[in-house]
Amino acid sequence: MTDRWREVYEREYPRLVRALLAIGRDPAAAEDAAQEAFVKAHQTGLDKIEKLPAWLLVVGSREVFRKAKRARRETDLWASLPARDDGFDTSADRVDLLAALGELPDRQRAIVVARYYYGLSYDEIADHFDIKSGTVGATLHQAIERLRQIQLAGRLARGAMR
Amino acid sequence: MTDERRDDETIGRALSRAIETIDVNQTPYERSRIAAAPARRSIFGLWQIATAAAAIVLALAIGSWLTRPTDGQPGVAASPTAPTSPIPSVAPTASPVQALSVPIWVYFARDGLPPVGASIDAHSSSAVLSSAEGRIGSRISALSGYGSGSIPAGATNPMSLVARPAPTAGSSQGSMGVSVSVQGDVAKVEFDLSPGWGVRGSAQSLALVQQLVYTITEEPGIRRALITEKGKPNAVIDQLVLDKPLSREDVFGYSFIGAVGKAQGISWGGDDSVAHVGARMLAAVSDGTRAAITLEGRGPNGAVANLPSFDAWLEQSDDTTKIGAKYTLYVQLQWNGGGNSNGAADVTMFEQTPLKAVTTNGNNVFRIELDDARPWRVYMPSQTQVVIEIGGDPRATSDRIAVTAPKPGAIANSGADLTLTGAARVFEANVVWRVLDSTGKVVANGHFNASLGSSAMWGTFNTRIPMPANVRGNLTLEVYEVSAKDGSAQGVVQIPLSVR
Repeated sequence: MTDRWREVYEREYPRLVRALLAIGRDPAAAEDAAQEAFVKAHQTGLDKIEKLPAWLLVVGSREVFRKAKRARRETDLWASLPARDDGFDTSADRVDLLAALGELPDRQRAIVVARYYYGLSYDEIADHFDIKSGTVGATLHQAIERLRQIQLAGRLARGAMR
Repeated sequence: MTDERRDDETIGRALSRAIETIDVNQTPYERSRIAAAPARRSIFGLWQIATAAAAIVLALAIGSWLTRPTDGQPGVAASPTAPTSPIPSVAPTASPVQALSVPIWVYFARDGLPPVGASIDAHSSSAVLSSAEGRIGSRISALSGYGSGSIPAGATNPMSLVARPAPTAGSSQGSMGVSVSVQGDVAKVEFDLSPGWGVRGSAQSLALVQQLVYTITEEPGIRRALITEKGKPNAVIDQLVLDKPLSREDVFGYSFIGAVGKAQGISWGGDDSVAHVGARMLAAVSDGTRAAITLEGRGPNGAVANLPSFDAWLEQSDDTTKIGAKYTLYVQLQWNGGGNSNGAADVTMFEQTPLKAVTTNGNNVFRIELDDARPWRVYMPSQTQVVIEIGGDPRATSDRIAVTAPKPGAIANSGADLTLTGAARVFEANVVWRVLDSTGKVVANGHFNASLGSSAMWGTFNTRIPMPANVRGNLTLEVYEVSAKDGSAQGVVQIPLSVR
């Protein structure tokens, strides 16, 4: 049993923390929420959870929002995020996108991450996040449209400062 | 799909890649809360909750330093339609003869650090393992089937994400989906992967390339790897185009290569007044990224003595010999007073990337056997000791500055002093530092002297720098030399810090 949990943990944990960090923007809260999500899954039992990755994401993001409400603190994480220069990607775009994601409303952030980072289908999103399946597509499109605008604005602002 | 939808998908994918490159800490399972939880089903429970909480604090401290960016990410992470688990490495229909399980040396990738080697089991036949091509294929197959189970701490196995095509009747063991040909010091490895590479984002792609290049060139006599896709002259891994043979030095992540050749080495005019002074290896440390060998001068009676003159230089070595190192760093001490140095030959195996072994005549010649030509430096803590230091965190290493503390991603306290240690080889020993906030604004700066300057020998430093009060968040510590010619910053290293 322990081995099974270890396997699940090692497979799912890094992805979950990354997703929660993208959703919540606070590294401490993301770690904490990810750990909490695992504790809840552990209490519930592996055999009772149907789609564990999605389950963890939903529980984890709920946890992130709960914490964020409790302590709305701003971090300047986004301005400096992947400062690492790996030489194969322009980091400006990545930072832009992550920063833009942070500007979206809570729910949209979670859904965007669920769709594009976790690869969940519309139905799965509707199911897990408890929204009408008909509105998933529209919400996503709206969110991406916002992302595009914010990202563009960021680029223009940077260009203007140069 | 409408244009609009397709456009959304493009942004979505870019976002997914951006998320994938976020540095996070992988709290090991042992320190996770579920390992600590009073489990309903498991009999685990030795770890305290306090430990888990501490681990989280620590996690932030370590930041990007110990991250595991791609570990255990099955296809679902990237796309719901991605192929699933790889097929075991031995073809089920394989002939029943001579399926061996042999330990074989391979490499795993690490975020922000060069790859790290480890021994795993390959399942192959003695016929396959008797050729260079077969061994290279077997190494890749072994990695592919290895998953992300027992691998070095902080490392990942991106090869486990690459899906294999189903075995065909004629496929040979140990080279499934891969065909290898060797020409001179180049191994060409062609991958047959109709479903694609299975890695996404620059972090994963780079990790895969690093892992493959190191693993392929582990074969003695091979220095470069040409990775291609079947029927194509090149390979395209996510957005990374590989179209020429790559050496370890092309992919190891340092901004420059360690000086190679005796003329590029370091000569030190030591104390040659005493005859028959040699050295012995006092200490050797290796953490998988940085190795440091300390030699201490020894007089004929065995007493500690000032070091005589010596030379240190790096050379490519013939790795088809028993030790199998790609490079050797020689340290040769002057043997004064005639006669033969007459020591006993000795070899100490380390097998810890990048330090393979140290061989010595037991007296005045030391050969440090290395996996690659990563940057190296030499400094002397005293007249009796010399330290040969190889590698280090690439972010903290330049051609003239090597910072050993703080580590990238370390936590610092606002308003408190931060200990800065390392080595430098700069004009008049003058080392300059500054701290930038996340917008690039300088919030603190200063300078100090290394123990030695304007010399082939590196100087060392161990100093305290004040972190500004009231500035918190993700800051960058830069350490560099100011050019005497034009005042520009030279050899800058950038160390991300989390300041509280």
